[in-house]
Amino acid sequence: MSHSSQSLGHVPIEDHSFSADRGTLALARDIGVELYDTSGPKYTLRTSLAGHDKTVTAVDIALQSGRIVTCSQDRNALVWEPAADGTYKPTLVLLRINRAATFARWSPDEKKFAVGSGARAIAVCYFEEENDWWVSRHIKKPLRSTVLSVEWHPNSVLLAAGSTDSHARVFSAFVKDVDARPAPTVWGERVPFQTLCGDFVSPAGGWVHDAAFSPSGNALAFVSHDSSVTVVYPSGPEQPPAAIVNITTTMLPFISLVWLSENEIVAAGHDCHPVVFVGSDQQGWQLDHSVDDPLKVKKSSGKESSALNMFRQMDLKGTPTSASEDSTLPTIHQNTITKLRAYASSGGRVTKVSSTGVDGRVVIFSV
Amino acid sequence: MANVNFRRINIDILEPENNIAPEELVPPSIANLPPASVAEIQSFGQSVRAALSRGDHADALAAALGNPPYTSSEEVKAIHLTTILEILSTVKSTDISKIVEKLSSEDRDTLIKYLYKGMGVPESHGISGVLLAWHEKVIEVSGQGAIVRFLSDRRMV
Amino acid sequence: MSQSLRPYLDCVRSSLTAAISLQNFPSQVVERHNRPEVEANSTPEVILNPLHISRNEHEKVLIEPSINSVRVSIKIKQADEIEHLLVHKFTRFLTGRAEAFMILRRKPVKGYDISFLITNFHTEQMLKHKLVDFIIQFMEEVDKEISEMKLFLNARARFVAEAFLTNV
Repeated sequence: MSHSSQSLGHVPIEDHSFSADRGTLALARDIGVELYDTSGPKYTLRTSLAGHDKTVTAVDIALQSGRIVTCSQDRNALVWEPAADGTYKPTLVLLRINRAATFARWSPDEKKFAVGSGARAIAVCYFEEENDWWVSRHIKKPLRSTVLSVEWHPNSVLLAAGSTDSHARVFSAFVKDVDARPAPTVWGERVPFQTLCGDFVSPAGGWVHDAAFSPSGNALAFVSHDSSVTVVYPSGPEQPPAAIVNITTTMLPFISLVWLSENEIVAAGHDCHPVVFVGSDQQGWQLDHSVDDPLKVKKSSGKESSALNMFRQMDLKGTPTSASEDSTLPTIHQNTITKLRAYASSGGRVTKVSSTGVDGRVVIFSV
Repeated sequence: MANVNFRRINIDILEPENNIAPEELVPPSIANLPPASVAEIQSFGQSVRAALSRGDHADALAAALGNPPYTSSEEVKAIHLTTILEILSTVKSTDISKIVEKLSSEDRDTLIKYLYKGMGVPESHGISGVLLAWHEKVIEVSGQGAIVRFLSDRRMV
Repeated sequence: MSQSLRPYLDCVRSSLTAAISLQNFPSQVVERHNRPEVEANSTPEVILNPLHISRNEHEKVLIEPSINSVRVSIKIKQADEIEHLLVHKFTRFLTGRAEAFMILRRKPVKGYDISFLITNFHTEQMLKHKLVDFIIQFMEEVDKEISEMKLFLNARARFVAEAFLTNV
């Protein structure tokens, strides 16, 4: 189980995205986006995209077309088109929101993208050919508070949204001119825009930090601030779900999750290391193991604790124990992990996930 | 004419769609729970005291934590809190870890709620040592997840 | 007595570690603003339940968490009038230099002697477990400082009184 880690400065990374060939890494840092070249042992900075006035909260690279969407706390989203010489040309998107944008993701078919915002709305944006710009349509009801995350269903029509009003909801983002009519799913058959297909709460409440559909789209998992993971298996449209499984943990809350396969989920957050859950709708879910477990890291033997060393430390630092053992955490990440994304998969299962955190590191974990 | 200075009214906080009022934060799962009356809670307290005098501490605690009066009035909640604090102070310190391990995970979360509520109430300052000892043992088993659940749980005991 | 100090500090440590899980949250009330929600108090859904931890009626800690900030208020043990005065002077000295502390709040919350405000920007720059260690160490040492100050005060007063009242 090898994990590769890159430390890229000390500015917190809000979001990251790899290109399809994993050769380019886009990082959202402070008010700009940095594009790194990942070939070679150390990531090198290729370009910086500057266009936002306030913290950039999300960046996503569309896998086929190479377009990048970024959104920021200055209420704007920009779509960056790659030019032939490696530079990017930004286009402003008319989101029509009056608060910060918190999250943005391309749909799997890359014709639309969804932006969650503090204006209690999700803006679903698509490209209008006749006017040559990106327009947005809002999903407002019944959102009552800031949207923390949006994730697409594999059919590019359904959207899972997590919000600070403690609800994880599934909406339909079907846009008539852009999408073909989708096949019926367990979430609903005829789904016009803004239909609420599901609304779920964790038993102990708590803001929903991230929600994601399973690879087949037939189950929804979300992580909430009560340090629990909930998995929902719907039985059909307009019916109560077949099963809702809630796993509470003894750890600090998780902020991000990724489905590894239909039966495995990896989640990470304030504990600074990812954790894998395994289960199914029949047998329930439980915590399987921690990746980069801090308890398993052997404490370094350090210097011999002679009296001379102790007095030397007291002279240098003022305390008898060496401070370096205490100021770094035993995990690879030194601060909260804010985003996990699937990096590599084989045999129908995600084998590697990339993670970035508040400490400015990018780590690729093998799970 | 109205005395209020209409030019200075903050329209945004008055509009109901923009804000969630604190009452609406209560989760829907307990919205329909019938409130318990003072008499019910007092008779429950008597049965718990009977169990304590029999020496049945673990069962008394589990029964008291099983159905917390989330939707009842403040008086009822205060009486239930006193009942639970009585149970906690009568258990011997050596038995605390055994009883905590036997409780279910939801009961441990409810116990944490009562411990923090107990420490916030002025009458319990004499038994703070007991409450802190229980807190330590529960955290050993449930970890910080239990504290985080208390922070985000809007179901107030 | 020190046997109840250990569990009290352990309780504060674990409660604070749980409450200090903060993240960046743009204000929902004013556009382009980013303020500590526990101080702004305008969005009830992002403010969490406060934690009370008390050792006896004279020593307690109140932790008020929210999504991007935590306010920790401490009431220091004050047994008599002299200690009351000393605590007041000591906290005035510290709060006057609050910028150097970064996490100190200039005015304590009502009912408490000193308050800290930790925001997500502080946890981004500093390690969370070291912040918690700092607050616990502060709580341990402030009691010692106050007792030391009281001893010196009494010793000086006795010396001065002796010098003044002895017949020369």
